[in-house]
Amino acid sequence: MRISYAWLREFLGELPPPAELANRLTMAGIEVEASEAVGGAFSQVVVGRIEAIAPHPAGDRLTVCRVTVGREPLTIVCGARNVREGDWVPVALPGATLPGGRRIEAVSVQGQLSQGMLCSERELGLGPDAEGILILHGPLPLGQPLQAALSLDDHLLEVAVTPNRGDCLSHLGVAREVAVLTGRRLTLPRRAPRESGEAVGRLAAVQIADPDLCPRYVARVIRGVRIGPSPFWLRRRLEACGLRPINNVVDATNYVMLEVGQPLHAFDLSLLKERRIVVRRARAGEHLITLDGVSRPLDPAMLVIADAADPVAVAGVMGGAATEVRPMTTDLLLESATFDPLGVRRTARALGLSSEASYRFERGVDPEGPAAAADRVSRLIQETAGGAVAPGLLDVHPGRSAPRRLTLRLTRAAAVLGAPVEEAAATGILRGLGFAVRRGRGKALGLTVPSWRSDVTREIDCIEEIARVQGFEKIPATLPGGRAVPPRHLPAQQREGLVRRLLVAAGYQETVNLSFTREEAFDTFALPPGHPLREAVRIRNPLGGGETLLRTFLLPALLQDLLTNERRGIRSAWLFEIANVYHPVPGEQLPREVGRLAGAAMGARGPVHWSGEAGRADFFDAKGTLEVLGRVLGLPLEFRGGGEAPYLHPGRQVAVVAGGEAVGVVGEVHPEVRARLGLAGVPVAFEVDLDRLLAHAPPVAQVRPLPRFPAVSRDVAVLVAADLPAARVRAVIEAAGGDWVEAVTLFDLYEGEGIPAGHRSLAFSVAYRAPDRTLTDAEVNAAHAVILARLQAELGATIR
Amino acid sequence: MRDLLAALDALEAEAAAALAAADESGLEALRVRFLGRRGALTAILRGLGELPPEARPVVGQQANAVKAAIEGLLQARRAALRTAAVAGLASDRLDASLPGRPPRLGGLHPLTATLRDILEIFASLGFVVAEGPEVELDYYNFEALNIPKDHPARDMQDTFYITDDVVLRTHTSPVQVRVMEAEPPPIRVVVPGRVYRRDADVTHSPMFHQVEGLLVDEGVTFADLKGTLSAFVRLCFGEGTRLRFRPSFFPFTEPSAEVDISCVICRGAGCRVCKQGGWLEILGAGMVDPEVFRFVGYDSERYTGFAFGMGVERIAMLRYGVDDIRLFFENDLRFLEQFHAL
Repeated sequence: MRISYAWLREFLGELPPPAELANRLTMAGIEVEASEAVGGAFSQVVVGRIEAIAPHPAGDRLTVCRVTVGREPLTIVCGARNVREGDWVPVALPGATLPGGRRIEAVSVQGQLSQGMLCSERELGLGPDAEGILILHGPLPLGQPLQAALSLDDHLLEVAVTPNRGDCLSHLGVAREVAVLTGRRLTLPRRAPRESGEAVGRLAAVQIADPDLCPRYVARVIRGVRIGPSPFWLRRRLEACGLRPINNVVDATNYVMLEVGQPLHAFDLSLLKERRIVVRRARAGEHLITLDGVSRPLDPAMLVIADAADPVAVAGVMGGAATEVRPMTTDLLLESATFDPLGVRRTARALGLSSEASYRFERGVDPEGPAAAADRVSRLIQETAGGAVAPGLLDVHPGRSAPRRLTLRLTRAAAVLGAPVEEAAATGILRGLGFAVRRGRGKALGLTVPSWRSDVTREIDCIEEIARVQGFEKIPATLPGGRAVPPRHLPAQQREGLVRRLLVAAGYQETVNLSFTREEAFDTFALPPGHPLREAVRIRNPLGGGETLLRTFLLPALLQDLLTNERRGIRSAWLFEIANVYHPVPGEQLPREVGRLAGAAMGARGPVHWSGEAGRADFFDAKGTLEVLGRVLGLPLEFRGGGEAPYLHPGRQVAVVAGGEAVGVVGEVHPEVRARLGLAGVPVAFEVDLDRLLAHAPPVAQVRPLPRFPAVSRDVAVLVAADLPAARVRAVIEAAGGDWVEAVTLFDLYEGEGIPAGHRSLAFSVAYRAPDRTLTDAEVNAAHAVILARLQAELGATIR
Repeated sequence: MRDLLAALDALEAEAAAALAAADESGLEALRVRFLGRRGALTAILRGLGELPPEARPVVGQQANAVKAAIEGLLQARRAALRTAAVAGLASDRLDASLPGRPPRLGGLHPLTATLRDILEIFASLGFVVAEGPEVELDYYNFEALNIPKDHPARDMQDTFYITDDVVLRTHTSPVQVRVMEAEPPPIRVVVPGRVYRRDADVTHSPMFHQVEGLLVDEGVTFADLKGTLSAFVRLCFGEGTRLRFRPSFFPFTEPSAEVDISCVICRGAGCRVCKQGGWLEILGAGMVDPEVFRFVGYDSERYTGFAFGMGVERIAMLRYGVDDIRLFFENDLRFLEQFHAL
């Protein structure tokens, strides 16, 4: 909300400079986000008065005006038609500069000397109106610089009012804060209108049918107004605060709203059937065309202002087009009411309609304010549009509530703040804020909360008021004592850190991706209909762009990251991410959130090096990463063939098994998936359920004693069918070798020349060791012979 | 005897010649050939038995002398070869200006590194880590934090809804409520995690990370909040960092504050990052509102507490001079590899 510094000064007199004031407000919780100096971007423009107007001898459209600016009269040629003798106008004197750098000099206009220029709003950069000369609201001191005469020199403070401080959504509200912060007295503008004619009760009636949503409705009637533009100063203020001037009546209601915070509405009284206001819930099927020209369907949850027959306004949100003030309007009914904040908010949301009025009502408007605001706006309209203000107010007030009383214990304040709170200081602050303060029992104060502070309902709210007005900087900084909390760490979290570090050491760069995904990603990843990974949590109000789902696995994002990098020329990227995925659970409100780890490696194993190629990532890099991960976690991982991930190469993937449970997959990305993504590189990838993996990992690895006797090594090379898994050969060796076999290591794999077609040669090194003695050659030979025999018998292997 | 002595002399001469021509690898073979168990010296001494006893010591002495001489020659040759080899190293050059062979090394994401540093600071202040769900009940995300439905405070956070009652959490604060529901005071937790708001531009991402803190016990004061956050800010941003507590509003704390630090770029003089103000907002905080205690069944007369929350991206952006939040989630390696975070 924009607050005018000059306007504040009307309430408070001289003030600290704008920057200092902004800082004081900010440090009291009324945040001033920006402060901007505004004023006329011109010089040597002064107040003048038209003394006489004569036609220009040479031109039918031009006039010659005699203008006084306090000295000898000036002769000025003018093209505008709207000036009259006696008007107060802005005069650019010879030597003046106008916005855009335009210089004014005494010149001859078609043979007639013109000693300056009469200016329009547009020429002064003060508004859009270029039609006529800006007519000022006199009387004003002749020759006074226009900036001073119109109070153009101002600062606008952009104030961010927190939702609890509806009372600060006006100049009066901010002025109250300034008063307590600077110790100044607040003077309210004159309010009472001059009343005349028939009493208001004979001209209109107000009835509240639903007092739960409308605790108070005040109306005033003015007859015989003349609708026209508002005076310049008023339009100027509205525009400075971001409102568009409309006409003198509507502008006055907006002006008073900005001034005191009470939203107001003016009806054309003659258009209200039976001249009656009925505040009631809308009836099913009712519609209202609001001021913005939109037809709004209403429902019985919404409060409307109706006349004797139909809705004429959505209460607290927006008026109706049918009863709005129009150029021929003469009689007004002015509404100054209090509406239930929740009701207004629900209605505004249901209609998708927010207004200056609804914004204020939602945040709480002073229930004691309507009468004064009605007086103030009536007077302002009287000044700017004329008319007779009918004596009296219609004030229907079914929801009258007693002032709120609270008790504040100073000891409690000190205990919460950690600093002593002096009674005198607390009393001074609270009285400055409009509280009535009485000495209570002990160190307690009896408080009466001012009507405009609907946010202050409890002792703690009063404590906050004292703290913020005093300044948080007055409170010391201490470290909490109290009881120590039993130390703990979540082992899972610590292990997660370990996993991260391992992957970094293994050459993977960590990524962080958004949790969102889209339906099409499931198609790209070839998930068949009904696949569990397609069961995703759906966002009801997603941002644009189609990311409407929460992801169920991580690899799509990682492959997208590879693609992003590839398109930017980075063809080698090894990436991982640890994050939650989300699975809906039938019958449960919340999905199951599972921590997962995914990695994707594409391209060179290392940076380009002069000594030769490091090779490119393949299936065994990905698998090797998981093998090392298992080792680091003290958890032997198994890899079972026949993995079923549809997005991985069917012949180049395995399932990852921990503790007998499938926890993930590892493999080469399916060529079709790559093609659909447009990825040129060949990534290998893995994704595992990290929560399950860590659940199976023992908390601490147990150490084995170092062997005391030497191991003996024997090699065995076998010729087997090429499609026989190496793991089966190895399993036979381990099983046949018995307890002495300590380690079986595949050290060579060969197929090609010298090997029969459809076969390959596998060479293993077998380490034998007994825990209690050195094995003899004979013992080892015997054991090795058993292995060879079993390999031949069980696998049909040829020993080479 | 003369024959034997002559043979010994000849042997010494032969050994001297052979050793002079030998290289490192030949030395051991020469030692075996001349001095070994079946070597030339042994062969000569085999003739000793045929000599008269009085001649034997003469030849024996001579044989020992020859043996010692050959051993000396051997040692001298070995030393000479070493010296020559060491001298030769200087000319055995490789081009040390060639790039080394680095191990493949990844890196942590800058957000992970920042988060870890934040958590470590709070761990040193006695806070333990707690976690909670990202897809959260409206009750925990709003209601129990004193943000009723239809309250304007809901406008402060644009929310992704799953159903009427389920949201993507807009802050880590719901974990406060879950922790307090689960255990009695004293409470001293920090809560890291992903949070979501329906907002996207240069400084807003629909998903970002927060760290929440909560401390509840008897006698906890606003002064303690100031002290705790002051300690954090100095550890996180450096000793010279100034901070200020500015009154603000959060429905779940009272009094509430926003915490600004002196701009880390310009040290408070005013620059583009701090929009000339000299201050950067980095934290929201306050004393736990009694209404929140009511929701979790804590006695607000007996217990007081404070809570705070901060955006990890915001802190990382300030630390590293990142000006577009989206860079964190694009995962362009040219960005990520600049951090060398391990």
